[in-house]
Amino acid sequence: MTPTSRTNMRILIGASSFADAQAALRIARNMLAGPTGQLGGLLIEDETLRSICHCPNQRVISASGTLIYLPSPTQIRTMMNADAQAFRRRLAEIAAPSTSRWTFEQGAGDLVESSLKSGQDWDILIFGYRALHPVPGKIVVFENTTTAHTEAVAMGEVLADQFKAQTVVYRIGADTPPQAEQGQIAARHFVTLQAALAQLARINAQAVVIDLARGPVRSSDQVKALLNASRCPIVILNSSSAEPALEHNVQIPQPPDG
Amino acid sequence: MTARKATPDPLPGEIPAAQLRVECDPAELGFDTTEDLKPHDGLIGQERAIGAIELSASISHQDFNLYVLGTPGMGRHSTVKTLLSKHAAKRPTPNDWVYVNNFDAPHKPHAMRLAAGSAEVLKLAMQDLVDDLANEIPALFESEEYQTQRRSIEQEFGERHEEPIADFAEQAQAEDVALLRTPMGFMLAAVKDGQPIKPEAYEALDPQEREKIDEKIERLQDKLAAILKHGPQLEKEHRKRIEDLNAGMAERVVSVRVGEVANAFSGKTNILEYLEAVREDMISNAELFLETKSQSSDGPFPEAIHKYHREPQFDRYAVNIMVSHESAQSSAAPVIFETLPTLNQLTGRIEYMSEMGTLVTNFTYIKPGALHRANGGYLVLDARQILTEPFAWDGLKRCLQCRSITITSLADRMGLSSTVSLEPAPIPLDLRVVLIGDRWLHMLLLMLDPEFGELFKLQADFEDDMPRSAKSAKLMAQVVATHARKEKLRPLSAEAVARLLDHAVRLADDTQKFTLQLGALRDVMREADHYAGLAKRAVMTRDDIAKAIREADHRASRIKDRLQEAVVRKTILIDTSGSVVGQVNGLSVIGIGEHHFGRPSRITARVRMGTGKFIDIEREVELGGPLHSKGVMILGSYLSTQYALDVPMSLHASLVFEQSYGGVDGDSASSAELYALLSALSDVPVYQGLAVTGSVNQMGEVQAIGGVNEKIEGFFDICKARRLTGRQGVLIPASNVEHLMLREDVVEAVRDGKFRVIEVTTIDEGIEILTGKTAGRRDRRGIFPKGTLNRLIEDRLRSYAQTRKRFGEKATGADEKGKNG
Repeated sequence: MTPTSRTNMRILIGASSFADAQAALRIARNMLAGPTGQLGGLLIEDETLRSICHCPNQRVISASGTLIYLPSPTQIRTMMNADAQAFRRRLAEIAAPSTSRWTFEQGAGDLVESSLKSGQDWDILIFGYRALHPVPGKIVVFENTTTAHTEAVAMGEVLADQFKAQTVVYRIGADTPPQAEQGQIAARHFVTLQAALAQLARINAQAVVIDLARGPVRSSDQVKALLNASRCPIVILNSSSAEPALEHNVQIPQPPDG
Repeated sequence: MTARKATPDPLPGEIPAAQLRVECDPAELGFDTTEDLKPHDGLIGQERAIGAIELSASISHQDFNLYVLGTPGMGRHSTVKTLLSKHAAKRPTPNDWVYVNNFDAPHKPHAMRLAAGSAEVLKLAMQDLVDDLANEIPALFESEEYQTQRRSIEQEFGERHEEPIADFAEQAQAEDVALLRTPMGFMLAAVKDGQPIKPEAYEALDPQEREKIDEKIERLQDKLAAILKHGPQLEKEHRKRIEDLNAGMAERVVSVRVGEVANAFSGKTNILEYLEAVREDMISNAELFLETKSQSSDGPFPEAIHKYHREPQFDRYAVNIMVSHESAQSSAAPVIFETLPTLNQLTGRIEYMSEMGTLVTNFTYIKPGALHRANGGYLVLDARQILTEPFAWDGLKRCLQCRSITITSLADRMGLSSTVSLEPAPIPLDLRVVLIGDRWLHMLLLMLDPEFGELFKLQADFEDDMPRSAKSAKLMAQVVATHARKEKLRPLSAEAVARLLDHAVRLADDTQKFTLQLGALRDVMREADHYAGLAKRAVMTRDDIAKAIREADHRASRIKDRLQEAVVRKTILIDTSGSVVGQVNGLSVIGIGEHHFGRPSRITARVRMGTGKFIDIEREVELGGPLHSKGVMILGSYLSTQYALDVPMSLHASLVFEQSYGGVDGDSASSAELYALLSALSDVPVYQGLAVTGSVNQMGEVQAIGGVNEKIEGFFDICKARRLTGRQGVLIPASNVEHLMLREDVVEAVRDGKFRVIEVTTIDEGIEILTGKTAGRRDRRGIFPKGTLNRLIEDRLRSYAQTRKRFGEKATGADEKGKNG
């Protein structure tokens, strides 16, 4: 299966605000093709955020660098409702041309956990992350060294073509990657995921593509770490294959072959 | 009181039939048909006007614009066209003018002067330039070379954005601070045991630790804020670098292509300056060409042959031709006849297009006017038309005064326009304007418009007629022959030409003149040609011409016939026989369009003792015009200086045009009014078979009037309808004899002794003819002989004065008696 051949693709977008969702929606709009597709939206209000709101002297730094007072829980609720409304409207706008169906849910909790749970039945899960600047970045694909030219790489190429961006494959693992199979796509090899994330944090990425079934990112904690490091939307294939949340100090086992 | 008395016969002053119509002799013309004549292309008898036109056409100084005045049908338009075309052919072809975009201020387009024939070349060159670049620039920007450079810049700036954030994230993590996203932006929270500290945990911390956390959070907040604030500056630098890259890439291809166009116009400074501005604009707006490429990929034709210059976004590089001439090789200045001289048609206009409910425009919507087309040559306008078009005359004068064409819309001038408009640069104006119009319009303009005389220094006054002579008759024949050829009419026989020339004399109202209203003669010729065709004749004959004149007269005679019918049926009371005291047949002319006819009117006078007052009933009821009133006042003056000089004028007299329900003006009936008054005063009847025309002065001299032929014919028709007795006729001023060109049937009647035309010089002559009584002259003692008409009048006036005196004495005596008693 290649992502472009599927006409009944089901895409779920998870975000904690409409600002984050917008970047993911832009990707979803390009991926959604055919009348049988389905688009989902999941807006999760972060519980941590809700509780922190009660802390004194807290400030919010706007995208333009302005320090503003933290809104009250009521104001946050109002903003979330406004975001939900905007999210729904945008979903409808994107789905309308292709007559795709769309759904929307709003909840509270941990964004990654909730989205991975809800994304079990979806082909693709996209985590939103607001754009901090307008300079277009690269499409980064995470892959194990043991696999070659996976579905994630194909998806990365599709996105790179649509956004006229460069694709970079981050191959993670102790093994030497099969260079010949990479073709024209730039690739970088990292022994550990942490090293890859550290590098990812310093490049301008437009989107990151991972395959939860093939790794190297498999768990929700790893997804959170990836989201924090990339500061861009993450496209997750086979989200149903996510491992249950583990303690952060548990060593991640090697993915199965294939 | 009325009395009837026969008029003696024969009468003095009768004009012989030969003098009533002096016809042209066909034998003197010297040809059989007009085929024998050489054509005469020029005008005849208009040397004065032609000289003025020639001067205006050739003089190089400003403001020698021309007003051509004269009666319609004189050939003014054709003469002006012929003469101006002749001069225009000798003058150089004027420059082409175009409007091009002003890239610095698009609402003020630049006007550009180009050599004749260059405008079209430049326009095509610019279209080709746009088409070429619309293909080449996208290809350049799709090249790997460009993409690599662009990616490099994006990578550099992407990393410059990301690096500080990554550093910050590492620092925050190292200091146990989490970066959280909220709908409003980012938030920092202290972390303990991998989780953000909640409010209750925070409150449980000791103050020092809380202070430490607060300081840390505040410091990091400031740092993140500084990083994010720097983002727009970085983005600005990024945009600048991309723009520089785009400009650099575009510059290569644009400069080459623009350079090729510039080579074709080397030495033309203004074009080269414009092309440099185009080059700079194309480089800085290269994305225009990229957008077009992305939009045009769906058409059925290959992109390479797509006419990109038609796309609206490339209007900015268009060349809007205001005026273009073929080439300088076919040297000739333009001669433009503008038949609809509205302000827009004269000075050009700015059109608008509706876009999303808003009116928009740009320099390509500027449309040229007649002034643009005629610039460097001649513009011919109808004076009446330009004066009736709102703001057109004002606009023309403004352009002539400023010597430039400034386009201002009517809506702008009236403040009705509320949308964005243009201020096109004025185009220098150098042309000669020729106005063709009426004489009275020329006089009005001179009187009422002080600028007219300054701007139109020349007048070409077309003569209405020319002297009649054997030579001029032959010239007229040549003109007739030329018209016949030009209009493809049958040739005219000498007799036909002679008849036509007789008509020309009649139109001139003078036996010594030919009219120069050649249009009227042409109309007769065309109609006569039709009749000749019906009769299957190869040559127009005298009968054809006569029929055409007669039929034209007949077609216009409905009102004349109805009036005549009313007289014959005595609905309008006009006597043509018998004698009546204080009643005279006056004659007037009624004009309906070009057709005029005479109509008799009964004029009556009544007198009694009074205080020297004359009542002109027409004036009293405001039906009399000023000239008529003047005539009546002259009568009063004549009476008071002619009769009873030593007694007060004790007359009360009233004069009236009977059954006149319209206005009366002119003094041509003043002699008739005087005759009626003299008859009433003398109590001597006037013979009604005679009608009278002529004005009179204070000395009792009868003066010339207009329309003498129509007046005589008008009375003749009435008499003829009732039966000609041989005693009927018309008294005309002697000075009008040379204007007689009467209808052939009137002349025939006179020749047969059935009608008379009598010339009179003085009132005494006229009253003697009308009453058959001697007028009488004062003898050495200053007394009129007994039994004469003047003696009767004077006696009547004296008796009025005496009666008045007695009446006055009686009244005074009664008053004194009353006082004494």
